[in-house]
Amino acid sequence: MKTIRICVGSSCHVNGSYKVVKALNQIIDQRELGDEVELVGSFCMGKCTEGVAVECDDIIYAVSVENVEEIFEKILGGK
Amino acid sequence: MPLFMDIASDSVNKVHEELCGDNVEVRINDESVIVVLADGMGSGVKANILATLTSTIAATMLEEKMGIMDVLETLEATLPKCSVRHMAYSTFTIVQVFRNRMAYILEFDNPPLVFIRDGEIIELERKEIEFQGKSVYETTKEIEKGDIMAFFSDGVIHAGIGHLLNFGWQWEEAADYILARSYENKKAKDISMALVDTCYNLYGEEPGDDTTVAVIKVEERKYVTIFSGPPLDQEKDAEIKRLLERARGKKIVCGGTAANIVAREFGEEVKVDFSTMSDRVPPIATIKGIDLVTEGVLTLQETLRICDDYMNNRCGREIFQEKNGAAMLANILMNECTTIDLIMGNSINPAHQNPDFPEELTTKWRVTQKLIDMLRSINKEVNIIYV
Repeated sequence: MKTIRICVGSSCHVNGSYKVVKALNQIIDQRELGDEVELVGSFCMGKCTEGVAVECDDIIYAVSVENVEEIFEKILGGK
Repeated sequence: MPLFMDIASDSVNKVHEELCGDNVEVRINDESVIVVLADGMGSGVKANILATLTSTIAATMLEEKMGIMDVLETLEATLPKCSVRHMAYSTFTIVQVFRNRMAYILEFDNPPLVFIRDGEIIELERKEIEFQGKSVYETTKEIEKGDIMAFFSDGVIHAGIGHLLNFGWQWEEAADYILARSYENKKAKDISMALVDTCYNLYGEEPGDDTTVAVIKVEERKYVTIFSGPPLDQEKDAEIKRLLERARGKKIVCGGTAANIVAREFGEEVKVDFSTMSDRVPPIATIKGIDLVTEGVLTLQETLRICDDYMNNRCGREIFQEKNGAAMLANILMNECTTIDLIMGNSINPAHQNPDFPEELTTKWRVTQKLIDMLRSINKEVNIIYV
């Protein structure tokens, strides 16, 4: 079980965390990974200036709607 | 502890008029709350000027502790005379409630004020004063918790003439309508909005006269404490815990970093509730022991918009039903508290310094300040505690 934390603070929200959450949910649904990956929200992680902050296994990624799929692969790859 | 005056007013303009010929002036200071409702003769710009002059002069003079005779004389001497009717004329109702719970009511030619206590309409002991051949009625009464004072322009009791009702509805019927609303434990705003809406419908959506209602409801104080923004000095984080532990009423945290600090100091976890996420407002979270946890600046901005809409656009209570942080916060601020203790930190979020960040959001402080001004304008007490 992997836990992916997505920042939903002010800055990340403006940078599109709503869309990133939607996109991630979609990917998880499509690949039927609901039992393996869990999405949780988090307030500010202190990485406000680099895009939507997404954390998994202590690594913080800067995610946008464009690279969300790529990052998701990266996270899964590190399993 | 002085009681809280929940004050609200609503108007609709006479059909095809851009300006309202009625005006409500509210003054709030340390000694008293003054509400003046004036109805200028005629309609449109002339009536608007008469009503605005009357209400502003009366409110200002009373605020400066002038006697009521001086106020009447000044009004008489100041108001321009109507060129059609050769009269200077604006009817008005003045209500001044002092901190010691004494209410002073002065009525001139508006429909009588409806005073509700313990589920009944109370007959006021009005004292007649003669002023230049006209009768002005004066009442002094001690107020109690739960009292409602509703007063309105004659547009209310004329509503429906020639449309749904032959002679409009009478004062008794309008008063009964207000009485019925009062049983529903509503806020002043709900009552004024309901009455004006009903009049608008009785007029067939084409009001034959400017219609204005002002309502004052006497309430007990209810507190809420909001922690918004982390302190500049991180060593003060522990003080936040102390402040929140002895906070009055509901506890609210606005701001992501603020939420993290509170969770850390209390040894609790922040759990984000994705079901409250929307495009406009980031989701809320839960921390054990805190009643509401929201994101900061974006939520506050939306909260301000909702409160503004509710106060000015007669959009009703549905606006608070939406499942997001801003609607929940707005509901608490507007409907569930009278006194707000705001714990403000001075720290600046680096994200808000980002030039790409929407300009209207560059400082949370500015949004917060607007919210404070709005709350104070409706007589809510806001105490700011800087940390």
